[in-house]
Amino acid sequence: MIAIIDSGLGNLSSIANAFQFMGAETRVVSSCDSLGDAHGIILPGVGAFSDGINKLEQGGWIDSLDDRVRRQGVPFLGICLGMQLLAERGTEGGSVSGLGWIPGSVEKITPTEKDWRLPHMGWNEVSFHQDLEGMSAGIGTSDCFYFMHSFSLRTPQSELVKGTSDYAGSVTASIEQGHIWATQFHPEKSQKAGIQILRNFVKLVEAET
Amino acid sequence: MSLKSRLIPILLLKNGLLVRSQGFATHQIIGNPFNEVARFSEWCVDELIYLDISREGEPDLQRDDLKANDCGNFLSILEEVSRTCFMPLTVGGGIRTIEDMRARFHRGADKVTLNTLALEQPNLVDEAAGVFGTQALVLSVDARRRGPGDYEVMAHCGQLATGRRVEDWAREMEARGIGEILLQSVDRDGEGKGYDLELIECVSACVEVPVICCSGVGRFEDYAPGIKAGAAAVAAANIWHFKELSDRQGKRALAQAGVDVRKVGLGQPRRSRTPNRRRRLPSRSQPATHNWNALATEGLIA
Repeated sequence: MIAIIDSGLGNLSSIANAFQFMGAETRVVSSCDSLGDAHGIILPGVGAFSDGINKLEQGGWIDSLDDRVRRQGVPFLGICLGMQLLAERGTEGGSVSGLGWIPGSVEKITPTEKDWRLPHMGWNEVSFHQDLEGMSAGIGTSDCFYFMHSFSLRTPQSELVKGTSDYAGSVTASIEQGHIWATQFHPEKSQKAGIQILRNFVKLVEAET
Repeated sequence: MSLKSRLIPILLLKNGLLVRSQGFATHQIIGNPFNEVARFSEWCVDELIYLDISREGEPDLQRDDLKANDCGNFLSILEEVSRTCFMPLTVGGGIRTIEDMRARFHRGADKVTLNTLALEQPNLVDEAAGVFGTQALVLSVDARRRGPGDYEVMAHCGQLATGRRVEDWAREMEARGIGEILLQSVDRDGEGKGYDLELIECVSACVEVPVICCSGVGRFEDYAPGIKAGAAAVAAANIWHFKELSDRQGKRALAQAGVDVRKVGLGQPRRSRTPNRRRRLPSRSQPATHNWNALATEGLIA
């Protein structure tokens, strides 16, 4: 069973719909005590960084995520804000600490010319490390994914960055650190290529159980 | 490698039925709300905008048992639609409170469009941006031309003049936290004579957020000038109902005009428009019937 965390941070039904389409079992969980039997954990989220981290804190999610994912090695997928929250620090709504799983910070994309509008909204190509397994298995070089964000995670540990996109410079599109995966784009809204990424995650979950 | 210009179908729903619109006043019934979405989903269109233009207290001529618009009706339609919609879904119409927005996000909307709410309670836009994030809020602007380079914001489905200049309104709403603008022209709606390019230029130049232009597309060649006028996405409603292969042909016309689009479905064969009864209403227990692997084998998707 894959748990989709409902911490009050946005649209969960489209993620649940996508997994249902693939025939994978998911459960939306709204209490941090219910992660015990999860074989995979998804942290979705949209909105502001400070608001997101507050919601995780209030719901008691921070410790339970740390325990299940980092200590016990349960596969994890963060989506959009769910990726940004992994950083050490966010700058949206004042400087605030994040989960700190990934070194680096989340900063506003700075458009250099008028052509770069914010939010970064729409379909953009992602250039992935061409891996035979892991997140990007089966993804083509010109596949596009749907983005909707104005802030971007920047990490000094470039080997964790598995996918990048061009938008007013290089944007971190995805992160992979062992069983901890995260995407800035929305795989559940990226049609065939997005579903492929979710399938790869299901494969990771199945391999770990 | 860069961000693609989007091509977006808009579906107008009135009292539970799809309609085509002209001049924001005439609404011709097209069909049921599910078939089109299933078709667009199979075509892998870039995104979908679904607007409920039912007016409160207006009787539903199709159904004697429904004397007035039932908002719950739209929410249940949305819930069904989102189950087969693996592309970004924007919904609008009848949103008056933060709770109305939440109800739509919970049923699968990724973004909501705000029009009357923004005009009547602008403070709610700031609040909504704090709760849902700017990326989830689309300001819908109905503009009417007053003279060269002079456009006025219209309220109540394009029927009531507000006296506000479109640029001022767009800038104010951008500052309050909307993340996109859906720009419609009351004069061009349903005319099929092309976009009001001056309007698009004028709004795109004064804001940083992406502009989705709409109203007036009659030929696929009408899309590209919208992008060249500054829009990040081109949208239309009627042409999607009355022309064959409207996604493929629209994208082809854009690509031929030198616009960078996402090349999905450019090789798809012709599909029947006849509603497939089995596909009409996916039941709760059954998963969606269309299957990407099958579509890929048929060469329907890239």
